[in-house]
Amino acid sequence: MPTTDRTVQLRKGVLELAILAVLGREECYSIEIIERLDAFPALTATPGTVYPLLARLDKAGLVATRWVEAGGGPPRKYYRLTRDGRASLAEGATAWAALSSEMTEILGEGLS
Amino acid sequence: MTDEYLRAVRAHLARLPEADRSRALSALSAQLDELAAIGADPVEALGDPATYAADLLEALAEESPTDSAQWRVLGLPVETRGPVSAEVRSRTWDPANPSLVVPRLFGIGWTLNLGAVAVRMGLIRPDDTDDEVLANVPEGHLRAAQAVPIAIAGATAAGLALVWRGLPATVASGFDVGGRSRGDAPRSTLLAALALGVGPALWAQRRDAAVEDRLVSAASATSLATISAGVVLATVAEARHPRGRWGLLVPAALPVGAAASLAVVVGPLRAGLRRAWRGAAPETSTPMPTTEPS
Repeated sequence: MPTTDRTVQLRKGVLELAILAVLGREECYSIEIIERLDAFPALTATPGTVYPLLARLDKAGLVATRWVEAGGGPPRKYYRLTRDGRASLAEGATAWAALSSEMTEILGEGLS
Repeated sequence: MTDEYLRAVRAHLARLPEADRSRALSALSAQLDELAAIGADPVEALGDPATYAADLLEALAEESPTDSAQWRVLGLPVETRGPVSAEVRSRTWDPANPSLVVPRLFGIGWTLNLGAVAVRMGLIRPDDTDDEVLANVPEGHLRAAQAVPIAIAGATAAGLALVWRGLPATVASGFDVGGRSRGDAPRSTLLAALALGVGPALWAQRRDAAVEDRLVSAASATSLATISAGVVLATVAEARHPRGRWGLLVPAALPVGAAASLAVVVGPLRAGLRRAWRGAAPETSTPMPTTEPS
């Protein structure tokens, strides 16, 4: 599916939630997060978008980090959700479900 | 009532860039006019001005990232907050931002994002720098980084003092693109060029600032001290051996200044990283739970 400008605009608001969702499944380092998002074409994000978001989530206390040795290279920084991050993910998922359902309804009405 | 509300909100928006503030106030003014037309009380409709302003600041914070200039004039970024805002200064060290150039900290135009340069050179990764790493930067490395601009500015001042008596009453007022003198100015103008390096170097000696700001300030001061040294050296050389292309020393100082300021930040940060890595978990260790226990 091509990533259109409209997709990019809509994605801006949900990328942070998508990152929380990725980390909700497993602890990841940054490149892994980008790869996980890459599996969803509409959510594909450049490192220039993901790194500032990770920094913001870290500052907000929604994710925690730790260094893990990596064979043949410098240690990698792994990200995981904090309790606040888990709560934010749940809250975001609820808000997204409501928004998505209502948008589907209103778009359906608009297109019919 | 409407004007009073608008004034109260404006008073709380002082830290917003002018463009954002004026856009927000213009929208609020229109909204207040609509409320006035139907006889509604703005405080009842929008809440008290302080809370409304706080909500606006939060909403606009996302749209005013620190890599955005305060103003734009004819498309050029204009900034004045660099000397007073650590947040603005941090744009010159932002590894998470892939842009190599960002608006200058003071004045018109752009400057280098040393963080992006360090990432492109493979010296660090975009998410390497965090509070833990900054806390691990040894104090000795921080002080050494802060000593760099003062050493360069001090050496420039000492060199100028040594040759001062032998200088003619007038020196080059500037240089053309070919590096030749453009005219004459009193030799006291050399003191202004010297101050360009000494002032920021002294200012960068603060030890009560946050670690990142100490490094960023030292890097900026190093860059300015190197340019100041280049200008002083070129002017003195022109005075002593006229008709050369000594002005080319000034552009030559730019990459030297950039390299020196990069070293001033990256050196201590890598020392902090190495210390943080000592606590790294083995690769084969049990993965942490996806949520912290507490």
